[in-house]
Amino acid sequence: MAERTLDPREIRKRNERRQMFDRMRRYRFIYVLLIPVLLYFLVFSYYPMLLGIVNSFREIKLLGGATFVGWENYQEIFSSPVYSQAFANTLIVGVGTFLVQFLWGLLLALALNELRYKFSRSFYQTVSYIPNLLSWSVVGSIWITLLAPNGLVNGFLELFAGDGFRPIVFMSERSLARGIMIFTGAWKGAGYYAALFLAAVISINPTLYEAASIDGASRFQQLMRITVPSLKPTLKIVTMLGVMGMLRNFDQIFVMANSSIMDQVRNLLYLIYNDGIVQFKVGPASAAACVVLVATMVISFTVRKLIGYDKVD
Amino acid sequence: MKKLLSAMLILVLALSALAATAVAEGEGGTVRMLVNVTGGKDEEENALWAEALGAATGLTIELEKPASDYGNILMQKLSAGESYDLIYIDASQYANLVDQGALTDITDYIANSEILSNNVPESEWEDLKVDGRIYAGFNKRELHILVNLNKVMLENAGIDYTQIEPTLDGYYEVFKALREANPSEDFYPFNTILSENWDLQPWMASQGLKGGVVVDEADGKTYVPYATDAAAPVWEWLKKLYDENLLDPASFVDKTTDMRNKLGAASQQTAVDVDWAAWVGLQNANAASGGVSTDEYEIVSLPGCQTPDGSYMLHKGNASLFAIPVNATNVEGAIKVLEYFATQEGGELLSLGIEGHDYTVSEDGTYTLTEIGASHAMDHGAPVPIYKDFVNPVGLNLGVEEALTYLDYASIETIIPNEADYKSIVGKWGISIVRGEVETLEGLASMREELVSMGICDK
Repeated sequence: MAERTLDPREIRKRNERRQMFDRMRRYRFIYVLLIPVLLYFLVFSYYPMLLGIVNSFREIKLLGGATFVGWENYQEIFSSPVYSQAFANTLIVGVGTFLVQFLWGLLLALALNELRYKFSRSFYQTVSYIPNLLSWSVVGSIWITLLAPNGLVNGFLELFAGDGFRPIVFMSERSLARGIMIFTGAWKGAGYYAALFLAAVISINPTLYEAASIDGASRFQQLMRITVPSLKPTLKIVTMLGVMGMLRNFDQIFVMANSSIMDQVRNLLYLIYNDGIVQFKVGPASAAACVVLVATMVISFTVRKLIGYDKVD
Repeated sequence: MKKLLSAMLILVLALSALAATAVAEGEGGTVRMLVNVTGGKDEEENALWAEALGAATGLTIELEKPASDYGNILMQKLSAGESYDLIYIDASQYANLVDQGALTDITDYIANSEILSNNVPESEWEDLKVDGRIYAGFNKRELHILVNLNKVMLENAGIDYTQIEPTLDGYYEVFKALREANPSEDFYPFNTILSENWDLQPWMASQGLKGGVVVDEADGKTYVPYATDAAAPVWEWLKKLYDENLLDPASFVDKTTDMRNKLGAASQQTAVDVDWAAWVGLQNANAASGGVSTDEYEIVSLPGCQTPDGSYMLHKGNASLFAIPVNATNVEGAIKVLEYFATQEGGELLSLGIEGHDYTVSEDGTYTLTEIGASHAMDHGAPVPIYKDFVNPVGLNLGVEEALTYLDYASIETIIPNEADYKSIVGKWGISIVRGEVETLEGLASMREELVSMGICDK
């Protein structure tokens, strides 16, 4: 009986498999500890997500059965001009907020890093971070009040305009609506980004600055040649985090939108809420939620490739 | 030690579970209720309220009252298949849930119940019919909206409110006089919630136009009267008020709370708005509790503009209801609760609150609100209960009696399932017209077009 010669690749695979099982046996306690975490994600993340995907192909009665309707829910939302508009609004406000927040946070972090006294740095960092701790109900109310006809902003404008000034109802100006959402969104989140950037800035090796200084580099040159390049990994992480959350803005629009500006700012999550929760149309709402999921994945993977997220710097 | 800690943990968990649900023991079965505005003002009072309801009906009442986000919670609980015997819903949810087949048809129960048939006005049941069937009972009797006016400010401007000409021009003159008497930049004679446009009826009445969606009897098609060319004079009137600084520009973005605050005694940044009849009394009661006398501040009411045929046209609030889901386990018990709500005693529980807690009754039958009861402003879900002969034993707030004299002019609007879209579209184009961004007729044509495209009406 002829002996079978084992393929070296097969031998390597077998060895790897054996090693894997050995490691699992050795670290079995850690794997056991991971089970609750795994269960948590299965129950609270993946199961609802899977259910949402299934529901997007069904017409659902709240207290009755569900019927399979194929792509009907998707056809409904893709043929709806309201959804198209909402998708555009989601992207414009989402991308705008991310970009402004990103730059604002970066500039803030660089500015904070320039402060020599620890107390003043902590103070300004805390002040800039506080809006991020507040809910949108609070932040929205603050800005609605500031931008009201008798609010602070109109008060300033009146100082310059003088008598006969007619207050601007900012929150009903369609041309300003998206800008206001982008600005207020960035205002709320800039402190958070600044905290992330600042943590990276202060961990840069100070000897690099000393060497550059000896070589005659100006502060600006040090900033552009040392600080910003050293921040690259953090910038990538913040970009990925921002992009993944870009399409998930609901609270801001729910709190700050009104009829005058709704067309300019109504986004997909707001429509999902309106269809799914208010009107009990679970099927189309689930389909729209799946679109948001897919869009987020596509945008995230694209940005990941574009910024070379997986490349080691 | 371990055992002690475990026992404590179990105790804490058990207490938490009990605290979340107010339960009152009874013998006629259990009725599980998911409520929004109905019941007590806090968890402790919820338990007392459920106990009082249970004692009166002989049922075990399980009352769940989410602290906030009721619509979301209701939807989640229903879609999870959780079983309730009574759920609180508004008119818009009623239309959607009936459409979903989620509610029990109670038409026959009503026909067989002497209390429900006799104690509730027939017209109220008519308003709830969907294809001739009824799927809910009432939480309260809805009142109407009407014009609220600051009587003292009017008097200071030389106006006797009983003599105001009930036309758009008549009110325009009133606003002009108020502006002259109050030149302050923060003051505007009139405020309205244009973005939601629920308070335009007293003005639209001048053209004989009803709010919401109406069926054209000529061709059977539905339309929105506020979007027709016939509504143009009212939109132009509002534009004139805005142009002449008589209408608060914040009306484009204000919410109802903002409007009420501006009319309130504490700020008085506006002198006229349109609000629910109960708010005439609440504004006066709030002023009185703040130590403001009626010489300094008093809100009175008027029915707005006369219709072309010399009557008035107001609208009543869309019903707040209690429905029985199709998976309810105690339909009979739920009907018993609905019956109780339609009696004098049930009305007292829904308005005054709990005897011995919110109010006391002396030996001679005099009702007196306790301090807690006074702070709850006679509202435990129904300031005016659905029982047609209900008598509030404590009496009404100042101004409400006058406001109620106009109730006969009020009727409900058709229930619109996608009401939020309706308000948003009418509000958007209405504001554009008032701001002068579009010509009136052009704006109305766009309003109609969008309403039709969103499936809110046929033409």
